[in-house]
Amino acid sequence: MRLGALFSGGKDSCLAIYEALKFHEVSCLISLVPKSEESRIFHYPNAWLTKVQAEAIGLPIIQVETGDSESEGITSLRKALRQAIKRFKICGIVTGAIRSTYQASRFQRESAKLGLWCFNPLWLMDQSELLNRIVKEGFHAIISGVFAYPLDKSFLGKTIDYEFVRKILEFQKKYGISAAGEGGEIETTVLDAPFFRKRIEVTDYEIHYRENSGIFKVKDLRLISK
Amino acid sequence: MRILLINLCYEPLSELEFVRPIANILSNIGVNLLTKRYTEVNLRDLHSVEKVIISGSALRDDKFLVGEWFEWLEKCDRPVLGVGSSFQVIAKAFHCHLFDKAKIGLFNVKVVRENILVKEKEFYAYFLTGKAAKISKPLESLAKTGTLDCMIKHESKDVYGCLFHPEVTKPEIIVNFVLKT
Repeated sequence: MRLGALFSGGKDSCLAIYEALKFHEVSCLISLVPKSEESRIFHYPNAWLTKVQAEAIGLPIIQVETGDSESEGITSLRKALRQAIKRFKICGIVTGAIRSTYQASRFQRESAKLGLWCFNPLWLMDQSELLNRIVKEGFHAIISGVFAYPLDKSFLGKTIDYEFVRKILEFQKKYGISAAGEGGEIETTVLDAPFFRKRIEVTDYEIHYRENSGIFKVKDLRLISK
Repeated sequence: MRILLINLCYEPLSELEFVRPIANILSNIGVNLLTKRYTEVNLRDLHSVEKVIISGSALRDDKFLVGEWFEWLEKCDRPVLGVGSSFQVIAKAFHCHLFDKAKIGLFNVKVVRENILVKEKEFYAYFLTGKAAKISKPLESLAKTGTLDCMIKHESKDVYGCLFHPEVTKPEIIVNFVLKT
């Protein structure tokens, strides 16, 4: 089956693609890019990077701009899915939805309307299992945004490794934050994964941090053949 | 306790979404699990377990309705729980009429008959279905969402069906089925 992958460039969408590739062909990436400058700067600091990640993976990407409201989000998603059906003849989508019934329902409804299969291979996955899988399978994912106490500046740009997993699970227990960042506590960016043809090396970056909120903004990078 | 978890998914990628979460709940309460695809279940499997749970499947996946894969259900003397799409399996096995009805997302459920699976009179549940059923004897309605029957039970057997996915917002339904039936 030819699938389109809903792609944010973070750990969840990449792990979902990794699972989907075991059974199906992923024909394209589908990415919704926020129109609002504020969303782009603070919550999607590396939105431009999804194009580079697509090149590193070796897949075409469909990018559709979206607004902040629910109806704009749905319209943009529908538009992107229609493009993917037309251009890449996809029969289904794969998403990195983990626990949000709001997000999952939206994906399920839109794919049902268009006659697409909808796969959510990370659905209800335990947060600790998810993070450990990322490390074990050899993903190179970094923390590109922190938005909750006690995640401070020192986490920005950090690679998700077993030490990070240990620490974030400790924070989850102590402060009640979601270790996998499902509540928007962290944003991640994947620089390499087993299905990437090239890996991404960040050569220049900026860190902006204030009051338990910060971003790691990639300014320059290069692609390296594997 | 040994439980047979029947995988209703035609697409293996869907198993991670519909079978694994139930398997995790069961493992957490120490259940000894036998997992099999519905096309591979035989009488020996059914006799080797104490209870049976049938998983859900993707919205586009209704291949399980073609063929007589669940003929054993009517004669089964083990407690059975069907969740999500397998509500259709239970309804079909007991000759209830299925009809197209898309219901996707979180919806309010009202319990209409006291039962051992859920204590609350009202709760929110996650639905992902393209079909519902007109419930008739020997099945009885335990709960409704709007006018739809969404929890059912056989009038004399411990055979239950949930149109919603209890593993998402109501895992205690699965736990109660294991511990109380």
